[in-house]
Amino acid sequence: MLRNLPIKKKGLIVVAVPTLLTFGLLVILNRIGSALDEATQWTVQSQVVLAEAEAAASGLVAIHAENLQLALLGASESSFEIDLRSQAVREGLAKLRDETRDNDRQADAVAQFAFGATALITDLALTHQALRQGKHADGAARAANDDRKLHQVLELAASIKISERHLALERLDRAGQLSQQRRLALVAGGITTLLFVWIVGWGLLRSMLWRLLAVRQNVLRLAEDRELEPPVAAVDEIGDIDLAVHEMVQALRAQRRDNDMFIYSVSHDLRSPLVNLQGFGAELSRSIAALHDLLLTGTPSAAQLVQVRHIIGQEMRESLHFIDLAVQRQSRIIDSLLSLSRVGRVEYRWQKVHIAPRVVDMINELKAQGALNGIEFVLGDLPPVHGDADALERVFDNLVRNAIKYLSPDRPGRIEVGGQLLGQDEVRYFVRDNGIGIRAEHLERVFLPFSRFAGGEGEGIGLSLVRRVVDRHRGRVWIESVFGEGTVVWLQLPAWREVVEKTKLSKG
Amino acid sequence: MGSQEFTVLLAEDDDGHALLVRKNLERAGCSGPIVRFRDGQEVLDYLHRGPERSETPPGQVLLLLDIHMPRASGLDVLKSLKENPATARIPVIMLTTTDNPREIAYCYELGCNIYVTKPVVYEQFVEAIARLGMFLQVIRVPCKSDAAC
Repeated sequence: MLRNLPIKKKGLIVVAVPTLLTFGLLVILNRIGSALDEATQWTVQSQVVLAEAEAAASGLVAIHAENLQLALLGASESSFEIDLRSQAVREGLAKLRDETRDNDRQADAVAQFAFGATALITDLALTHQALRQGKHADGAARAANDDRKLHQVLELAASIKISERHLALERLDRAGQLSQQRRLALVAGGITTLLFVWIVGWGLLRSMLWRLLAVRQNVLRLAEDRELEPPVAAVDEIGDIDLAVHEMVQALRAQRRDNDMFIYSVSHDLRSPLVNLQGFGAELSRSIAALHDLLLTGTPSAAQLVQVRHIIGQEMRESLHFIDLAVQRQSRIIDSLLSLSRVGRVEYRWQKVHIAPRVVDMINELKAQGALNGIEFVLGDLPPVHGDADALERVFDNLVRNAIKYLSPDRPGRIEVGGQLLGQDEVRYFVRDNGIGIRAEHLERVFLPFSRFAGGEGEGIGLSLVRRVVDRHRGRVWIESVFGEGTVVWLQLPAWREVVEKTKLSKG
Repeated sequence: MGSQEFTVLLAEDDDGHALLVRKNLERAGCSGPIVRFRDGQEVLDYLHRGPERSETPPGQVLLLLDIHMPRASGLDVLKSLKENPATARIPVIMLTTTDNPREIAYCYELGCNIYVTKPVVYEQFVEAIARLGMFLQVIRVPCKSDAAC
């Protein structure tokens, strides 16, 4: 699944997933931390509760002790002091109630304790009052009663302390658990994140590396001109690169095939006149030998003279004629090769090209030469293109001359030249004729130099010149033809952009 | 038993080559009529006119085919002849300026009888044509016993 994502997305995953994991880990750690803080706080509170209970109990004990002292020795703290102590115990009880609200069981116990303690404080105050007033018998009886109640209340206080100690232990335990959890989360989260980064990162690297190696292998094979491995799956950017390599190889192979065909055709065409040169040269030698035999072996007879005349006037002239033709042919081929190479080398002047007036001039010239006699010529719209004017004129010249050359003798000729804007970026021109057409099996080779399929004059480089020019314009040229019915040559060239802008404005 | 009984059909677009072949065939002793065609289509038109053709001399026909010709190439002609039972038995000699092994192999595959490279060195050419003349006299024998010929 991950394998089939583009590198951009894979990279995003490698960055995003650990980021999310780390973020989640931080959230968990933060929660555990707050819980731990709270637990620690409760542990401290237990200490407070213990102290409060202790203080309340000892406050009660102290008041009771004062009463006993008063009863036995007749002297004690003042009543005001006793009141202060009582007040302190009451406040302590209120605080204790407040501190234990969180735990119901403990709150009940505290309530019971507070109830008993409050009642005891009142009793102790009454005992103190009685003793102060000198009612010794009544005071002693009350003190004895207070003593009993005090023991009960103290027991309650003791039980509160015991359960509070238990609580404190529980809370401490909870805090310990939480800090254990925190350690665990830290270690587990850290390891998970690291593992993810390692495994996914390594997997990504490996898959990329493998594919990159495959591409490298293919590029090396390209360099060594061996068959390529099949393209790696086209799921990511590396697949795109490999695909581009494959396309490049195909283009190169096609180009090389064209080159091979070109060299083959040229070598054939160059050799053909040589056969004539050699052949007729040898014919000349033969003629000379014959003349030698006829003229230098005594006085020639009348019949021999006729033969001599035939050899000189007929055979030798013929041989020289063919030698001359062969030389001319050879020279034409070499001129064609030069012009073909010039098309590739000449510096272009890139500009807006209005091809229409140039085509009109060309047609007028052809008409003046009589080349268009009996031919219907239709000139349509020719939108401007971006290119080199001279080169493009040569293209149209070649195409129109071809159309004229290969018109059918069976019907009146008709040639149509036109074009149209194709969207904003391209112009498509055409040259259409109703001539003899091109056989389907020859169509793919018509653009090769030195390929002639229909006889006629010329070295067969016209269409290859056209293709070279169009290629240099980054355009496209192709041919549709029905043998016996006619041919359409299509040219697709880059449009002149400014023109597009202007027509848009005028329409707006 | 002269070789006059042969009609040589020569398909060759180059006038000079045609003349040289003709001269050398005659010198090699092949004095039968020679009919010249300028491209492959002309040969096909001539041969496919059927049995009622009048101007064809009676007897053996032999085809000398240049490979590189406009309209229909020598290979096109060869293929077309071998596909048609009426013309499949015509002996065919391919003439060409290049000795491309793939092309030679392809010609034999299509069923040509001999493949002659037009050599630039003239003596070789004469020799090749002379051998051709001899060949013409040899192949006549088995065909004569065949009624269909």
